[in-house]
Amino acid sequence: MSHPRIFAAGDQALLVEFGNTYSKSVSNAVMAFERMLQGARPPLAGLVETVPTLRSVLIQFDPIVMKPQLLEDWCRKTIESQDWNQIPAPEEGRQWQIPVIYGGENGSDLAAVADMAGLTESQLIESHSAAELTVLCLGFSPGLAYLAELPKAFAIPRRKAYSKRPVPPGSILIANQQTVLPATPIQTGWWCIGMTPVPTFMPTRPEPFLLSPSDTVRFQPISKAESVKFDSEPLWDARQNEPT
Amino acid sequence: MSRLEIEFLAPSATIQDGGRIGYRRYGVTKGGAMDPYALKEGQVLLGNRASAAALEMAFIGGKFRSKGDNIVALTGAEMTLEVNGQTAPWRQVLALKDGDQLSVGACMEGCYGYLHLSGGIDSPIMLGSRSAHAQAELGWTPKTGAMLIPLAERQAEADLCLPRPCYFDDRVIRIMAGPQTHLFSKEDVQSLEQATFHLTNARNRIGARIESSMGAINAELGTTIASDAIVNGDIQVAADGIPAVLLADCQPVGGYPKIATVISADLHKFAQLPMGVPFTMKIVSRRFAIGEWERLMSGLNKLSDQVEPAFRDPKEMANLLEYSLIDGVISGDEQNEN
Repeated sequence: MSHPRIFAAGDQALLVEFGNTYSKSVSNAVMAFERMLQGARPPLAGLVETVPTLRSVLIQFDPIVMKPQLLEDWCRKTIESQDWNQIPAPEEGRQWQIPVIYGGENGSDLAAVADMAGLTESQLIESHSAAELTVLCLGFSPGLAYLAELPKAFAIPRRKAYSKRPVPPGSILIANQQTVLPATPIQTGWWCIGMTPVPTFMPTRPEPFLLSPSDTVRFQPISKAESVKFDSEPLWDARQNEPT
Repeated sequence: MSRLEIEFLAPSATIQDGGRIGYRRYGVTKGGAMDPYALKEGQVLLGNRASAAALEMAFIGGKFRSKGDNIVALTGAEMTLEVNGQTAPWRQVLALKDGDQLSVGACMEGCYGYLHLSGGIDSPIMLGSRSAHAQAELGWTPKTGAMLIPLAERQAEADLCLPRPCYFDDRVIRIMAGPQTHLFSKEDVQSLEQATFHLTNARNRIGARIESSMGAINAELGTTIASDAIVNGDIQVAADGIPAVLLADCQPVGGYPKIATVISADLHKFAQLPMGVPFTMKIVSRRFAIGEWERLMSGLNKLSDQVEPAFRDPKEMANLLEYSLIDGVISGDEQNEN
């Protein structure tokens, strides 16, 4: 079967699938399609929420307000109006510079990852912090961000087993040319190379999540001593880097 | 000021309302009451708003002391219930006086019971909801010693009650095919309708494993899928081939393939299934599933029509003498007075 495809996901959601696996073009298509859904004119009545993933968009709807057939028709028409292999990367996201303490007690896999990548530790840090990464989606746990795409040297498979202890929020995790940045403690099979002191999920703030899909992120190596200032005014400092 | 002091509470109890809308794109589960029907029953009994939160108690309840007068109601899974040591009715508005003790014990049917206070239980609203979600440190999980504070001092009419809903006896869970059903063998999909399933202790607000005689499902084709969106009711098959139904607190995105999805109209019914009790599954169309949802919603909207004054059998009224049984008697002399 060819993509994009439309599925029923239960009786109150549609899943529009753009690929079986993640790729840059699939992810670009996901973000563009979700934006079209949110920006539909007239707005789609009965649209409850949309959830972009690495390869699909889930559309939750209220079946009492909107007949699923009408939503499916809208999706089909929109799908036919584009060449989904040629969707450019999203441009409207915010840009973030996020400080990271690489290595040390909260980045204990740095040496192992550098070894697998065939780089020295400082080359790895340089390469990781030079890449401009896009937030592909948030998911798995509250505020956890998937960021891509790292250079080929980071094409490292996940660990076979999950870590015994959960990694703390702010851990900088690596696998499959992607970085994952969890906002709550999680158990994971990803490699941990560092830690940011910037909290990315603060439930009591008016904007609880720092990152949104299609935002771009560049990591900035800092020392442990420098991280102290982020502990005092964390979100405020990070926001200084937001272009207005 | 009216409040209920928690003298004891099982640790699995949480504050829940209708859940969070719009945060799954940030990785935050919808959450909310495991049995939204029971949540609605309590709101209707006490005249609370649809956004009112209740205390959800899983399998076992707790002991509460009324500070000042309180109007409460209990709905959902029926648990043993006593006021000052005397059996009290479920699904009925109860008037507690200052110092009264409310004891909620073990489940007699179902799994999730709800304690409702007048106006709903006061607790912080986070990301648009009062629902507690421990993994994200959202909402409030009350502990022994804490106070449950009603949002309204308004008095609901005591003794109003609702009839027992029929879903506790329904042992057929309807399911429908989903985006990954085609990754499984026809035999495995068909066997979902033929096998008899039961829930085990491996259940919580996130999901419930379902065991059966059918043996492990072959998920070979599916174990390699890239992470994809999850909806409540998805039946995912992990590497060991044992299916699990994902429930209110499930993560919005996950990497295991889903063989089918429990229809929305049966989710509260599934959540209330006790451990070890056999149930079967039936594959239905989306059209049928939506029809059942519409039926459930219209039933909920008409729930207030079913509220009626409780009939109380004087033989079962331990505190008979406290009731004024002769209100409204006239002397017979009134006509002369005019």
